[in-house]
This record gives sequence, structure tokens and C-alpha cells, in this order.
Amino acid sequence: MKDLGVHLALLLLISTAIVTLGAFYGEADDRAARALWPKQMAKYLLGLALLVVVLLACEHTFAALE
Amino acid sequence: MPEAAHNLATTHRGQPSVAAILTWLVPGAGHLYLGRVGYGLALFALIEGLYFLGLELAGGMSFEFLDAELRTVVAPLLSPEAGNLGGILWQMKTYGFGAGHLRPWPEHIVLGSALSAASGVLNAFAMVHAHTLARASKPADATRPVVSTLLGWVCPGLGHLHQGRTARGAIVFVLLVGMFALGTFLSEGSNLSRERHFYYWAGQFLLGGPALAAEALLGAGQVTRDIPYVEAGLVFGCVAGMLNILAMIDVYGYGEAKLFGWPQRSHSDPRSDKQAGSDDAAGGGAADRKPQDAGSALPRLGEIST
Repeated sequence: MKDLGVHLALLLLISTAIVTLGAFYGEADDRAARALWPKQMAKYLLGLALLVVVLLACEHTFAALE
Repeated sequence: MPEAAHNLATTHRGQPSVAAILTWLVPGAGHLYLGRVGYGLALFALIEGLYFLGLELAGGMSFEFLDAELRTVVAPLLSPEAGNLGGILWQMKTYGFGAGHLRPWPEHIVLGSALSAASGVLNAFAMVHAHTLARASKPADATRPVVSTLLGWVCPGLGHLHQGRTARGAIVFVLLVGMFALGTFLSEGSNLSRERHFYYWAGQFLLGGPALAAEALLGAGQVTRDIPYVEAGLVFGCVAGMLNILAMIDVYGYGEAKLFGWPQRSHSDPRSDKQAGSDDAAGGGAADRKPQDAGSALPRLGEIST
């Protein structure tokens, strides 16, 4: 858990870039891309949160065995 | 006649896919196939010249940067040189992964390695140009979207700026160059070395100008201690380069749609989704459509938003 805040900040930064470029890729029009962005970002972060839950569950179930 | 309508005229230069594949094998071959002899020879001289100059400077040792366990057939395919298939095949056949024992690097191996990699990337642009040229009725028109895309490699966001999309270009520049700068800061410049991080470097190379400039200025640094955030820094640099591919596809797609009078890409517009679906069902994406085939699927010119 050391430096968790730094890691989360870095994750948010890279997520912002990925989602923004994804929105630009999907929409040639700037306004449409801007409108798409919050939904895409929410979906992306939700997907990441789900992945974290799955990874933690796997770690708890398999990797933590004595 | 409006420009877009003019570009829908039937052309008989050749198959776009064949032109692109020929260029992949031998730079300029696709242009020769399309009857553009001067262009083809100039591209061949430039791209192969760059590749073999790089090979000469590096003594053919670029792939000896890899540790023994990473020397597989995948390695050349994951390098920027793979954009010049003929070149990389020749290099692997001639030099492979080296003599199998350690020997000193040539003095200019870093420059040589970067030149060969740049040749691969430039040939990818030549392939795109050949594919566009085969479809455009006016050869000169095929150059503009490719030049915009190439500018996006020279500096992220510059291609958008060339197309008059200033705000988007500025956002792309700030995000991608900012990510790369942060990555370089976090990894204390250790990301700027192909020898140290062969595959991350390949991704980062797609960022183009800023990555090359940073490597030229700061790439000679020594690593003398553990760097706490080196992994994060490498990921940031590499992801910035790969995201620039999305930015360049955006630039090319915009220019291509303008050239052929197609509607701009939009996921929120059900009309374009439906049209894309019917194109796919017909056995080819927008990129493979011949102008005469595309005519029936196109909107009227007044509906085109540019």
C-alpha cells in the first residue's frame, strides 16, 4: 500500500489520455467527442474497478494459500 | 465539379491492397505498380537508403541489444523496422541476432538503429500513400491526408493542426508529449535507450519527433542505482507512443473522408454505423472500397460535413 496515492494519480492520468484518444478516434467531431468523454471515462474506470476486484479475489483465493 | 465528387471518379491505376503489400515488401514497388515511376524510385532510394545507412552505422547489431531469451522470431515483428518487411527480412537473414558472443557496439549504433527504425515507420506511410493513390482520381490529392498523418508522427498533434483542427491538435500534443515527458522524468531518462528497454523503446518510437529528440539529447545517461518508478515511466512512454497511432489514424481518417467525400467517423450517428455495417457485410471496409463501388453508398454531397 506504499505510495498508493501516487499510483492512483498515475493511473488516472494515463486513463485520461487513453479515454481521450479513444473518444477522438471514435468521433471526428470535437463536440461529439467531448459529449462522449464522461461516459467513456466512467465505463473505463468501472471496468478497471471490476478488474481490481477480480484480481484481488484471485489473489485471496489462490496466491494466499500457505 | 466539387472536389469530393471529382475524387469519386473511376480510376484504373490498380488494386489498393496489392499496391500497399508491394510497398511493404519493397519500398516504392507499390508506386511502380500504380505507374508512378518517379515516386516509386524516389521512395525506394529514400527508405532503403535510410535502412541500409542505419544498418551500416549499427553494424547490423540492433537485435543484439536483446537478451538471449528474448531472441525469437517475434522480436523483429515487434520492432519499427517491420514496416519495411523486405529490409527486416534481409537484415535477419544477413545478421540475425549476431555472432553469439559479446563484442563492442559500433560507435554510432544508437543513430544507426534509429535510422533503420525510422525507415520502417516511413515505409508504413508509403504503404498508406500507395493505398490512397490507387483510389484517388487525382494523384496529387492522395498526398494531403498522408502528409497530415506523417506530421502527426513528426510531432503529435501537428497533423490535426495541418487539418485546421487546432483544439484537438493541442489536446493531443499536451496529453501525449506530457505523458512521454512524465514517463522520462519517472524513469530518470532510462527509457531513452533501445539497448536497455528494447520493446518499450519500440512503442515509444511511435511518438516520433519528441522521442527521437529526447533520446538524442538525454539518451546517453548512465543508470547507477535503482529507480523507484522506472516501470511506471516505461509504461507512460510506451503507451504515449501507441496512443499516437490512434491519433494518426484519426488524422488519416479525417483526411481520407474529406478526399473521397465520405461522412466523417461517428459512433453516435446511427446512419454511419448502418453504412459501415453494410460495407462490412459486402466483404470490405471503407478503406478497400473502389470509388465506383462507393458511389451508391455515399450520401449526397450536400450532406457531407467537412
